[in-house]
Amino acid sequence: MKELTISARECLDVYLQKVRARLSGAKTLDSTEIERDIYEHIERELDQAAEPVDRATVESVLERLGAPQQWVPDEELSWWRKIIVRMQSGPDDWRLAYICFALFAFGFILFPLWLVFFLPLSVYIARSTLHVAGGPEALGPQRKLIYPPLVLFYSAIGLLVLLWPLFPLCALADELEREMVGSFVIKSNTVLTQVTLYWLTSSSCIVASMGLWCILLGTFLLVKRKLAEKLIYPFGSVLSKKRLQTLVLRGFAILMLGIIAGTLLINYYGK
Amino acid sequence: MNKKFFDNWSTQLRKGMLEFCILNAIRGTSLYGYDIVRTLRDIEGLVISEGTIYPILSRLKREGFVKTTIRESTEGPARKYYELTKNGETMLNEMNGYWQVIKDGTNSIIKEQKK
Repeated sequence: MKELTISARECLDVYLQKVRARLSGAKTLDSTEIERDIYEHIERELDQAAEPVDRATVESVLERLGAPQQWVPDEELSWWRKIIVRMQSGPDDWRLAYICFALFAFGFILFPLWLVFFLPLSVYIARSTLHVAGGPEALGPQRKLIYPPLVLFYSAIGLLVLLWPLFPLCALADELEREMVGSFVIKSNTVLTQVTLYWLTSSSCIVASMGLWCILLGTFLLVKRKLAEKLIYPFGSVLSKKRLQTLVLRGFAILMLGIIAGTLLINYYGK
Repeated sequence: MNKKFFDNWSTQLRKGMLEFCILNAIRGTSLYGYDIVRTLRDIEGLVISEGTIYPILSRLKREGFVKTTIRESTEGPARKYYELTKNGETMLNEMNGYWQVIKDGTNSIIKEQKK
């Protein structure tokens, strides 16, 4: 190769790096051979140039050679290489989608951190991806990458919101056990002890409370449905009016069940 | 919009034509890679990016249609020359036959349209 200026050499080195990077992922090509051919091509093109060859001359040769991305179609690349290419040069929504999924999947290795850091971060990036793309309809196959963290996160939050009263209620029942057990007077000729009756009654109260919570939650969501849909975007259709009304009705049924069960227990087994 | 459509169409057309023209360029002779590029770059509209020829040559070699030989050169280091294999000759004959059929058919449609 003829002598090049420092700037021309840098330009050439960067280009050859791109050539190597693009060819390294190609399944059906001999990358070493092609790289050698490209190098020889450049040498021949610079044969007539005066030494030291300047950057502009090298750039004009490289421009005619074209960007290495044009030489090897994406279909020829191995699957991991396609991911890297998309990350480096793809549209923002693909890069974001890959980052989102990587944080979700690989962050799992660091489990405690995954729960408090990687999962929320991947959810944030998933929401950003949706925003950049302009909505779930515009996303296409990227949905498969961003939906898993969203579904998992929203489901976990949903279950937590639905069932959180259980924790304080059970703790309260446990707290009140010693004080309240004594007040339960058992009828004779029953197999139940005071403790058992207390816990059965407490469970009925807890069930009734959960029913009441479902009514309150369902009503709140019916009133503030738009807010709730925004929170669980793009799965807002899950909170349809019909489903929320069903939640309220079921809550009512659970409430009644709890009240009736508790009343029957007290009347039947207690004095 | 029209330009985008035309660019897509011409890119697809060039993809098939490049392999065809490379094989025809090598036919009956041995050519150095750079010489193949120089031959084809003279065909207007065929070669947008000269670098595409080398991966195609690599693929053709892998398919068994071309082979390479290294020869000493008076102008510098030893060079790699490309020539058709027997398989390559057979394939090229088939491609030339097909091209003739397509060309004649297309030309007749164009002539009809011009009338």
